[in-house]
Amino acid sequence: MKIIKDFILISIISIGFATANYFINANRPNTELLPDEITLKSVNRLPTNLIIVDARSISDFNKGHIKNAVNLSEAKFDEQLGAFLDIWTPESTILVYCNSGSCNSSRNIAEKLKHECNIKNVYVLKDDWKKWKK
Amino acid sequence: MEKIRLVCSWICRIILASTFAYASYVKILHPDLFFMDIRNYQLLPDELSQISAYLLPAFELCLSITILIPRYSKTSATIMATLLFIFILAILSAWFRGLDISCGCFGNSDVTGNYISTILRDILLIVLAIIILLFEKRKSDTLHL
Repeated sequence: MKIIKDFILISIISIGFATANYFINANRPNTELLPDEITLKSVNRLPTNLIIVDARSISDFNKGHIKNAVNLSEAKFDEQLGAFLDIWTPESTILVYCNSGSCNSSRNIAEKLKHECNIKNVYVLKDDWKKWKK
Repeated sequence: MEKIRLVCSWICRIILASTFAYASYVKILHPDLFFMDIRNYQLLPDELSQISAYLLPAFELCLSITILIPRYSKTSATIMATLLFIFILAILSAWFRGLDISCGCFGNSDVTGNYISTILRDILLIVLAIIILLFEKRKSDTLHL
């Protein structure tokens, strides 16, 4: 009985604190992102065995890309897949990006990797890759 | 003997209090990032994940204080042990489903995919909570004699 009373008291205080945090704290959860989408803010929470995939065309890739990124475009997917699989291991985490957060290529490549190649741990970057600092 | 039990009980409480306080601090500052950690487990719908992102760290912070108050230490130890057990189940679930995710236990500082050490750490914390409960039970048994 005492435990239940104490639990209720602790819960009430916690709910009050959580509610206050919700109104005070500007860092609100972004529910518009899909579960496999991340922003630059949370990229450093990904594992260190990360393979970064650039989903843009070869010409865009050659003009500039995130350091150590691998090019895997929609147009040349089958040709470029071999080079990607050479460096991929089942423990790898994949981060796919394209021109900006609203570009579809990264989503399409991510879906191909997940469903055609059966690769797990694939994420899509929903930010401008040029702001990548790592 | 009673003094040794008291000292052990306080050491366990301080370790649990500081662990939970540190865990809650990082997550209270960034509920947006903790929300993503919860989401990565793919166990709860987004609405519940959002609520948990605020409520869980608040709960952890409260417990880190109440475990140090003798009147509430038994209840706090019980809740802490239960929470830690639930965390272990969630981590095991992620592990068996092949998810390579950050535990989210300590916000940003957690390494991803390090499931064994995370589970062992939580088991150790549960043991500390059980020690507190055993000493509290012994104390109340002695008082009733």
